[in-house]
Amino acid sequence: MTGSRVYRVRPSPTFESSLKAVIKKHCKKNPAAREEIEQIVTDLLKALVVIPKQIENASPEPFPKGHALPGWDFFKLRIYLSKLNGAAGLLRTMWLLNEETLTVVPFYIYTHAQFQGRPPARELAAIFRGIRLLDEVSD
Amino acid sequence: MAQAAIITIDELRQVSRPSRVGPTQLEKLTERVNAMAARVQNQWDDLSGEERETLTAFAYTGFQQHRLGIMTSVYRLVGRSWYALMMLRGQEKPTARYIMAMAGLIEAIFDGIERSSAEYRTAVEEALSEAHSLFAAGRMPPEVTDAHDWVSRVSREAVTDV
Repeated sequence: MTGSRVYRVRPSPTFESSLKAVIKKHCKKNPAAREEIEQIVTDLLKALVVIPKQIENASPEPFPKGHALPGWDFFKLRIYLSKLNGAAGLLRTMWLLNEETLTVVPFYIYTHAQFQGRPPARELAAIFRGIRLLDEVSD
Repeated sequence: MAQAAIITIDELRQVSRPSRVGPTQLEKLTERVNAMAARVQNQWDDLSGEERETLTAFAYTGFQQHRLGIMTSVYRLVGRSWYALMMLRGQEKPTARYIMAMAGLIEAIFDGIERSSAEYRTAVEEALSEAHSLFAAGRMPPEVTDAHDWVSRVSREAVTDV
C-alpha cells in the first residue's frame, strides 16, 4: 500500500505495569479471560502501528486539566470482554499519539471495576423504583 | 434562579422506551439518545447530584452482571420482544443504530462515573506525568516490534509475579 504511514508503538512503563495488574487481578484463575486480554492487546498494538486514529470504539479524549502534552493527542478505547462479568468486562486503554514523530505511546489500561461507582444493590433498586425509569427491566 | 436540568428523568424515560414510538419515529429517538450521550460526555461535571444519581442508576441497572456484556444488557433494557418485533418488520438498521446509541449513552455515563473517581484521576494523571517526564528527558520507551511476544512476556510475568 503506497503512502501509508507506519507508527512506532512504545508502551510506557505504566502501561506495562497496569496491564500486569489487570491480568493479575482478573485472570489468575480465569485462563480464558487471560487469553482474551492477550489477544485484544496484541491486536491493538498491531493496529496502532497503522491506524492509531481509526481504531473502532476509540475516540479522542481531553487531557485532564494541567496535564496536556503539546504535540500529542490523547485517545481512549473501550472494549467489552466476553470472558469477564460485569464491570470487570469493560476494558479501557489509553494512548498518546504524536503525528510529527509518528509515535504512539500506550500509557494506561484498566477495567471499569477499578473505578466503578455502582451503589449497593439495595440502594440502586430503591433509586430505580423511585424514578420508575423503565418498565421493561426485570431481574 | 435554579439552573435548568441538563438531563431530565422524563427525557431518559422517553428515550429508553422505543416500543412507545412507531418505526418511523425511531431515527428521531436515536438522534435524541446520541445528543443525550454527548451532553453526558461533555457536561458530566456540570450535572447536579440528583442527575448523576439517576444516570448512574440507569447505567448500572441497564448494565446487569451479564456474561455477554453491554450489548446484551441494552437488548434487555429496551425489551427483547420489541427487538424481535422490529426484526420481523424489517427494521434491522434503524434498530441497530438505536441499540448502538443506547450502548453509547451507557458508556458515556460510565466515563463520567470514572472521571468522578479521585483514584481514577490520580492514576491517569500519574501515567501522563510519567510519559511527560520520559519525553522531556528524551528517554522514549522501547519500541515494540513483536506485539505477540511482548504481550505474552508481560502476561506471563503477571501470573508468575509473587
